[in-house]
Amino acid sequence: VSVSAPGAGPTRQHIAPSDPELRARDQRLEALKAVVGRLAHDFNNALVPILGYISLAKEDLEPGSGASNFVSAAENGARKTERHLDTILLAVYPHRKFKAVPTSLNELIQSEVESWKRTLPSEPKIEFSLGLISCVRDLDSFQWQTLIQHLLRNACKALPKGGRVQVSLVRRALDESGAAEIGVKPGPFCVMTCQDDGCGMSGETLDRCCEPFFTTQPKNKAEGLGLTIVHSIARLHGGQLRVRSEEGGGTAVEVWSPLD
Amino acid sequence: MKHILIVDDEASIRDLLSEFFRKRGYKVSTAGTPVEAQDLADSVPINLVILDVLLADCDGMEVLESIKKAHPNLPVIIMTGIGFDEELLKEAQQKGAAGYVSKTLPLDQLLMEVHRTLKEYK
Repeated sequence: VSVSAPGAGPTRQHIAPSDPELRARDQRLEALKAVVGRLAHDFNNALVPILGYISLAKEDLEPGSGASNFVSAAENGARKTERHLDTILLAVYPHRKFKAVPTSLNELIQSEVESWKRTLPSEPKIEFSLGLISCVRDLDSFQWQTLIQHLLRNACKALPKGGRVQVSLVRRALDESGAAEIGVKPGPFCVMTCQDDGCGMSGETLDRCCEPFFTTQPKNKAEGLGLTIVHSIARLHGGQLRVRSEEGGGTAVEVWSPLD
Repeated sequence: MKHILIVDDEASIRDLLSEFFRKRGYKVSTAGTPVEAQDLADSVPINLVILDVLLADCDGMEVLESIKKAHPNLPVIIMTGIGFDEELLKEAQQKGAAGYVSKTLPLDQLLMEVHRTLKEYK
C-alpha cells in the first residue's frame, strides 16, 4: 500500500499528481491545512496583546506579591498555548521560519539517530541500523531535525514490544512518469527512508496519516501532528513524502528531496 | 524625544505598542490604515516606522514602498504575525526595510531592534 500527499503550499518543484486518487487527497489535505493554519494564525495573533500586557503589568507589580504570582501564572499559561500554536503552525505553514543553508544530510541524520537512541529506555529493545550515503544539500537544519525526530518517534511507537528500525539515505532518479505519479518534477533525488517492522497501518489509517490532528493513539498520548509536520517540511524543501505500510507488516516512510 | 509611528490594522496591537514605547520615553503616533500612515509620515517629523506588512485591506509592502519613496531616510521596521519566508524578506529588503520582527517577539527584543535601527540611521 502506498500513499503520497503533497501539501504546505506548492513550490516550483511540484506539479499535480497524475493519479486521480492522489490528486483528490492532495486537495482535501490542502483544504484541511488552510483551515487549521488560519485558526492557528488568528489565535497566535490574539496572544500578542495578551502576552504584551502581561509583560507591562509585571513591570508595575511588586515581585512575589499575590497579584504578581497570578500574572506569572497567566503568562505561563499563555506561553504554553504559544508553544502549542507554534507546533501547529510548523505543521501547516513551515514557511514562517525557514532558512536553508548547505548541510550534510547524512551527518544530520546520524547525529539525530544517535541522540534519539540515548533517550530510549532499555526495554523494549529496539535495534537501529543505518545506511547513509554522503549528501550535502540546502536545507533548514532545525526543520530537518524535527522531521527526523518525528519519524523516529513514530517508528518506536509502532514497536511496543521492540523490533528493528532501519534508516537509510540513497540517491534515486525519477523519470517523467515516476515523478508525475507522485507530483514532483523529474530529476535526481536523495531519499531518506525510516522503516520499522512494527504493527503497520490499516488502509484507512494510511489514507489519512498526513492529516492534521489525525492519530490512532489516545488523545492525551499524541497530538496527531507528526506526519503532517514531516510532510509539510518535505514539501517546503521541494520534495515529497511517500508512506508504505501494511497491517502487521511494518511501515516505511520515504522523504524524497530534489538534488538539482 | 524620538517619534515612532506604529502602523497596524489591529487596534489591540497599536494600543499595546503605544503604551510600551511611551513608558520608555518615546513619542508615539499610530495609524490603522495606509492613508493615515502616509498622512502622518508626510505631516509630522517621524524618526522610525513599525509597519505590519499584512494589513487587512492592502498590501503592506506597497505602504513600505510608498513611505520609502517619499522619505528615503526614514527607517521602517516591518513585522508580521506569521513570520518571514525568504521571498518576503527579499522583497522587504529590496523595498528598503531597515529590519524585520515577528509580532510574537518579546517586547524587550522589539525595543532592542528599535534601538539598533535608530542608532544605524542617526
